[in-house]
Amino acid sequence: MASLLILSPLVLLAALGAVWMARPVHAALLLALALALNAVLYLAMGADFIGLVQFAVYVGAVAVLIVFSLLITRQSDETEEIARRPKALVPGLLCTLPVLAVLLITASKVPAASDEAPALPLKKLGEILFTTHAPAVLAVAVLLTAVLIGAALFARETKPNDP
Amino acid sequence: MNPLALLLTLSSVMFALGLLAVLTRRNAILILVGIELMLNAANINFIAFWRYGPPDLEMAGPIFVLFSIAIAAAEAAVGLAIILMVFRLRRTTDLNQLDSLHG
Amino acid sequence: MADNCHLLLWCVPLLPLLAAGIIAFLPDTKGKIAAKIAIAALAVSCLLALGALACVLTPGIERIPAALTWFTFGDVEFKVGLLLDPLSAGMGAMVTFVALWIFIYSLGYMSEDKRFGRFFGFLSLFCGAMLLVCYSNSLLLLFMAWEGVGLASYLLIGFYYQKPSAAAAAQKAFITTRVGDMAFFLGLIWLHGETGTLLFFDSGNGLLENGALTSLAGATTIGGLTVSAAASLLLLVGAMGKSGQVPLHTWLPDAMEGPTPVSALIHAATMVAAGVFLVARTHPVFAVGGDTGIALTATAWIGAITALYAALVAMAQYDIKHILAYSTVSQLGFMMVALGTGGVAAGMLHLVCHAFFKALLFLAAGSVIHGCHEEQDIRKMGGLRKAMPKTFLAYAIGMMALAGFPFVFSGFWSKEAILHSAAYWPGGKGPFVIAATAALLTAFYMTRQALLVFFGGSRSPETHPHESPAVMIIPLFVLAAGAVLLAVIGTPLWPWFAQWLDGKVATFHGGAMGEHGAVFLLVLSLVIVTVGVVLSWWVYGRGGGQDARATVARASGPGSSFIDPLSSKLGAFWPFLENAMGFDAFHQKVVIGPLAFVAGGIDMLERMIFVPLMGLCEFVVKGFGKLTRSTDERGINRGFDATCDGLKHRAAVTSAAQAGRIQAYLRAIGLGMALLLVLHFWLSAG
Repeated sequence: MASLLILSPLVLLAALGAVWMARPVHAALLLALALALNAVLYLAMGADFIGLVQFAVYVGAVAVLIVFSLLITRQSDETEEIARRPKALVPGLLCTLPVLAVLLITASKVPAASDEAPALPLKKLGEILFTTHAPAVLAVAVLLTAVLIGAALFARETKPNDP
Repeated sequence: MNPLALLLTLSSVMFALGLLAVLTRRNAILILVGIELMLNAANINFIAFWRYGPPDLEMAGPIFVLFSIAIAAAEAAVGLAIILMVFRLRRTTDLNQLDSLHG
Repeated sequence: MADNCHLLLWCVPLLPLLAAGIIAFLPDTKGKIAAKIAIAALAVSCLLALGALACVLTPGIERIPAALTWFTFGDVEFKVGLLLDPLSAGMGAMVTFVALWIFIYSLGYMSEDKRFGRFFGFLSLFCGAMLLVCYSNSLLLLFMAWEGVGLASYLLIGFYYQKPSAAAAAQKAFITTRVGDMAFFLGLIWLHGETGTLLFFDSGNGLLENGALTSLAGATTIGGLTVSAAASLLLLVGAMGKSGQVPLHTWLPDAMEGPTPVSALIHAATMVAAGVFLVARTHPVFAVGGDTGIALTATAWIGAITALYAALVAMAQYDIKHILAYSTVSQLGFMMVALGTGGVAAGMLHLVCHAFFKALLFLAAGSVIHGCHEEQDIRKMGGLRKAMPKTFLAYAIGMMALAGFPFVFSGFWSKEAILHSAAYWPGGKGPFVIAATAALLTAFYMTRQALLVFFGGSRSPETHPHESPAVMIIPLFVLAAGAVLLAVIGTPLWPWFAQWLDGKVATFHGGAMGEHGAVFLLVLSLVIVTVGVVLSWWVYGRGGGQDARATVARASGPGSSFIDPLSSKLGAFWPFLENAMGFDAFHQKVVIGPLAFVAGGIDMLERMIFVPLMGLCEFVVKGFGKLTRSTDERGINRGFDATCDGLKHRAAVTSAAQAGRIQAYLRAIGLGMALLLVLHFWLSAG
């Protein structure tokens, strides 16, 4: 509980930074921080494996990918980087605040928690994953293959005279 | 305070922050940042309910999170590939300038 | 006491790492502050390391392992921890002490570099990782720190990355050591699979304690090799990569492209000793097969061959740093011989002594290079004795310690200990004979270098060498004092160091001279040094002054026409030595050649088969596309065009809502979602 009390504000601060920072690279780095803290949160809750996966995939792959994309798409001729439109803040908040209010009210109504820490035995996790959820695993595998090919096709240099 | 409520509050605020980023950012990549935050908020809920909720023998929470992370990775890869492609064609990632859908 | 010790012990490696972290965030202009942070952090960890050394000074083996669970992966727990025993405490104290003086020296040496601060950041990173290697109580943590050390070494060799040769040398070092690291990693996994632990000491369950060792000795693998022998051979390959043993040594001489303090710290005193330290640390596993088991035999022979090979090559080098680099390779070979034949004590004694005098030699060489305006070729030096008297004095002490001048220099006693253990090794006399020859050659090439650099007349009279500033000279003398004083702890009369490592009370060992023909070996060592020095003087020193002047008179240019007197005598063998016996070419042919051949084959395959195949596919698809396009345009479109025009006019009215602004759409979606959510909430609440 104490670790959750310490970690939660840190995660929120990092997430706030990711949303608020004007310079895109700062925002992306803070996103990486928020995701890493999230992984620590999972570890603190006893979901070791999920924490490690979160670390490897989100921090190691997704956040890095985002930072790289920002570096690639940075225009040299434009000094001011594209970040935020202040005018958009009002409609943005108009949409966000009701959602937040509803979520918070719902969250406050959850019943008291059971404090038995469930185990996360890796072997059993693997068994369930590859028996009960085998079709889903296959579907994800196909999806990831498609993504691999698709991303490679997108990223390929296209010749101007291609039809 | 009960830990489940704490975690749900955390995820709610994180989700709202992600939504705010999606609605107000101009840079397409930063919108993706907002989407990642929203996905993470959902994942926190799954793990929180697995940990503090009623007993979950089939470990549905962690398994859902695993799938969610896999799909989020796919989404990020395709999303960024599309953004890079658009950038190559239009030399910008500013969504306000990418309005060729207008009627 | 133990708990406090642990906390303080963690501080030793973490302080320099912290300093590296802070420096990483400082801008380049704040170089002076960065240097202060780095030196302060290292000074504190040096004090702590000396305190840790004091903790274990009392005799009797005292091991204070601290194991904490790092993470649990399923049922497998991974524990990491630090270990305080005489071996780690001695190594850690040596590393911090030598490194501290090298840091201070760098203040002077690097003062004109723009990336001064970054240099100290890298150095701190290196020290932190190296200290983790020393104090680690887990093979896993040791491996991670080992890789960190490799990274710091890569960054520092390539510090002058604008120079193509430096960038290439950095890559070469990284890739060559990677070969060894791969073997190390395989050995680590194997040991973990066999014993289920990677901790060295864990109150009876550790890797280096009886239970695990017995199970390792019992299990056999292919060819009747015990698992312990196979795993130790893999670890040995890892150590060979890091410690520059033949044939993985080629990166070490090239690593001299880095700044000289880096050569002194990393590629002479500490990092290259990490391989030797690894063998010393895991020596119980090596020793499972007995004194003449395959693992220890391999260690001894590889060390002996390396010692002789590098000593031969060092004779024919002209670059002042290359001579020292090959001499380092050679001395590391000596340490391996000691570990293979005699045990930990002799090897570690030589390691510690070598760290002092080799760091001293490199720093003195740096002072020479600095004083001679970045000249590194000893053919263009000469007579520096008068211009740089203080550097000369320090260099002479280092050189005499390395060559093994008798009695007052540490190198003499540590080398004598190695020869002693090699001579009475039950596995044969080969390593002893080779090591003795290499010791003779060591005396020879070090005397040659000293004569060519400091004696005789100057061979480039137009340069004006100058003495270095005090900030560079003081570390030289501190290290020189160390090189002399360390002799005290290792003499056969009072073998304090050896007994301390074994956990015995140190005693004066008056009878040592009578045992095992110790007098014979002592005399032999004396003869070896004398013969080496005299031979060298006979070749290079005798009338060397006139020779040099004659050379200068003959060639008006800087003394590049200096011809080594040995080169004519050795004939074709000389260029062979000069090119380090062609190991680079060998690697090029045996490793890189086949790889390039395979790559070429694959490229060919692609060109011959895949590209035409792709072309065929493209042709078919394009033809089909043309067919459909023509039917589309002629058959279908005409009818539609008219309809479309009509629609378009009407669409203009509704299209105002379709501004094409993605975020406007997003906002509409968001608003809709918010409304739905509120509505749902309202209904379910009411």
